[in-house]
Amino acid sequence: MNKNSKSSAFKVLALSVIVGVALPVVALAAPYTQQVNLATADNFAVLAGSAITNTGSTVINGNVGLAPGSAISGFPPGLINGTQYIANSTATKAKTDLVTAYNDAASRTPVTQVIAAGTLGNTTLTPGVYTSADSTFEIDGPLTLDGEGDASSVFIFQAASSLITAGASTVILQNGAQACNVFWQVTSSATLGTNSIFKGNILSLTSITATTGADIVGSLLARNGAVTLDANTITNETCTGGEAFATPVLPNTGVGTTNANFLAPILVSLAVLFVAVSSLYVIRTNQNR
Amino acid sequence: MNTKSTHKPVSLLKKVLYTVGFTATIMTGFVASLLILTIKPSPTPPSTVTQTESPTIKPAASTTLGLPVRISIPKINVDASIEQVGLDAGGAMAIQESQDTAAWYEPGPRPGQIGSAVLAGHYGELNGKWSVFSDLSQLRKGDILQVQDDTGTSLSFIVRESRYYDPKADAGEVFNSNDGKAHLNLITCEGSWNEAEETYSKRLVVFTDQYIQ
Repeated sequence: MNKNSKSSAFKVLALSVIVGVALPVVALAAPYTQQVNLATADNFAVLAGSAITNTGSTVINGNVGLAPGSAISGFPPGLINGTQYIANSTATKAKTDLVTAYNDAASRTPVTQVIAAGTLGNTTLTPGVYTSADSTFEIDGPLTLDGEGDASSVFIFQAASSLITAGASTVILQNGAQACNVFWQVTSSATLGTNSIFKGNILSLTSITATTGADIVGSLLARNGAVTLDANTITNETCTGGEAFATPVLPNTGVGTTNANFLAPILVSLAVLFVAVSSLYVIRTNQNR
Repeated sequence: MNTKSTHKPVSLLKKVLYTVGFTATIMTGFVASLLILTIKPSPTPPSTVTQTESPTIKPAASTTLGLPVRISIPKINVDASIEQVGLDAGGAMAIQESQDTAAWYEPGPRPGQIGSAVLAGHYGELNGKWSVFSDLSQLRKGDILQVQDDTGTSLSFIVRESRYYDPKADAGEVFNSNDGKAHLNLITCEGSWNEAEETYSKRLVVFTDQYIQ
């Protein structure tokens, strides 16, 4: 090799090393943004498999779905600012989409951090995928989710067992973190403490219980079990990663040619009228000669 | 004797009066026959099921609300069975061919569930028979209708208002609501028939709310 090609080769090598080191650093610095696509399940504040049972003055800001079960009770006194889809094709489709989203969330890798003893109280977390060292998650104090300035930042919690939040516990979102981008995949059941504040979409294999006064921004989506409510406020939030319901076009319910039937009688009547008037005029005219 | 064989000449005024008089008489007859031709006979109910007593109105418990099977609108003599429909290939609510039955949009809520349940029925006369919702435009605020489900429970609904839409209009307010109440919206056609496109120029939607006495 001559001197020039040697120095060029060296420059390329140096550049490659720099880029090779810099790229992963850049990639790691960007927040985790890989969405979980809820598809039509995104349209629901509450979605369940076996039953939906409410006590007290619950307010649901969003739609309520249930399939294959059909037992929903407590509305009123609960209020649903949305639509009930109970054991119909819409709820069935949403449940299918929930299964897909659940399996996606459950299988996400790599895990950003394993939470010791699963305790999430008095913690601040950045976007990423989290599991628990003992399969359960407990929120026993304020949990802060920091979006690092990115509104599309995503948080995925994978619970091999249960999710339990303590009474009066809170989930706080800051710096771009949005409830619609927070996903709690729960293999057994989720229980939200009395008067707690919770953020995110719970995707539970079994059931979800919101105890008295727990407020949720996000959604409660239970695959096989029930959703049990007690004087809660649930507000669904959608951003990206969903599939809105299509509004149907009004049906074409016309069968006949009702108005066209008038034409023939009108023409015949006009013809008769013309003949009658003309005849009269002729007769009158002849009489006067 | 003066036997005049010719009549007195008739004045121009009298000629005009006679012509106008006869024409007016014939016009009256013409208008009368036109009115008779244009008045639709009330559609005869497609079934002859008679009930010996009116069904008791029981507010349905949410857990046992069945599938809608029958609609009755006493004011316009409608008593028809209900079929389930979904979306057609073009993204519109589907409708069955039968002129006698109503269509319930199954992907939406059932009548009595929170949200807007939707029923559609045909409009117009075909082969001498009038369709089930041909007189829907006669409904007024306060009129009552009933939907019976497959558990025998009957729910009542009360008319709130009627609106006309272009065929391709956004129908969001017909299929969606979020005021925490159960609504039932009835859809049919109105306007003039377009032979080329085989459709009427308007859609009529009657908005009703669940009525619990």
